[in-house]
Amino acid sequence: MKRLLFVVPAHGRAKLARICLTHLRHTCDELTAHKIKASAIVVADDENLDTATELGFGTVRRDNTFVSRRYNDGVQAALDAQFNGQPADFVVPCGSDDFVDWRIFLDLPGRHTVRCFQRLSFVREDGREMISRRLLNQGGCGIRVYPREVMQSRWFRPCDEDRHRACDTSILHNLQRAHPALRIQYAGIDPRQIVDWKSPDNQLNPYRSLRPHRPLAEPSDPFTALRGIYQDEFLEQMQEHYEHARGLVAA
Amino acid sequence: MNEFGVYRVTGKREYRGHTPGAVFEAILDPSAAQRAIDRGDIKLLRYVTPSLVPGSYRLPPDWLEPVTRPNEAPAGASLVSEEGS
Repeated sequence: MKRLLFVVPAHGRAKLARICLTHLRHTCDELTAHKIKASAIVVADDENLDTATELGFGTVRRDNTFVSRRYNDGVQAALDAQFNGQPADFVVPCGSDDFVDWRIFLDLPGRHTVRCFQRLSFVREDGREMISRRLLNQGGCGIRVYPREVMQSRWFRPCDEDRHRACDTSILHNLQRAHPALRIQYAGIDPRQIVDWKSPDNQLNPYRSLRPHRPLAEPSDPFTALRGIYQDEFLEQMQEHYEHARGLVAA
Repeated sequence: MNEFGVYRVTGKREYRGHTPGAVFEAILDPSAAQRAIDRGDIKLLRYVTPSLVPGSYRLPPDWLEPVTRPNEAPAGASLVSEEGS
């Protein structure tokens, strides 16, 4: 059975992160039921660690001075035999504000290949609109499947240590330099299989900044468009979260 | 070797997004780093090997358990009782 760990840096946004991490628990359970043992390591220094522990995930306590160091700590905990008695075969960086459909991880890449995703969807900060985009930058979005062998070429710390943002780009560029045989392979998925839920606070890439990317569909209501991809219970929790947040803003 | 330089920004301008006076760790291109040092933009303080801090992490509780496929009996288990019934 192959082994996969998601690495999830989390900072604030505790309610949104709780919903997304609970969904990630479901993603991991489905993968394990389909012969890929999966779990997650959450890297944080706030109540998101409690949520992770409650859900049966691993944790790393690291301050948020450099987001890149959080990624590196998580990858090292996942893959470095010095810290993990059973290192994972694959690691997937993932946001604490994302839904990922477990089905996109069933087809795992070869030892020198990074599986990337260009198509994904974004929900506006008020939860009332969703757009689907194809990202044309190399590597697509930051959610990628990296084999252990590839990460080993950077001593399991793939990101520049002093970055506040663009960590996904730093990881890919550093690995390309360190591992010349590296191949980038794009998976053709339904853009709704990765959803980035925006929120008004702590947003590095706000919804409006995504408009220049290539559109794949007309803007839609997320809770209608995502029905059938994700279980109703998760969509209902998210809908309640946005309604509550809008109520707070209106008040 | 996974060795990083620890630098202090000594110039009056930002360097790699770090404000004057800030300390940062990075692997810099050696010639670029030397030029920045010569200009007085940064100062090399020491070299370090960044790492996960022992005691700061915990693996998922079930991660180190032997992998058992769904519907597969754990190692050593048997559906036949010792009495052979």
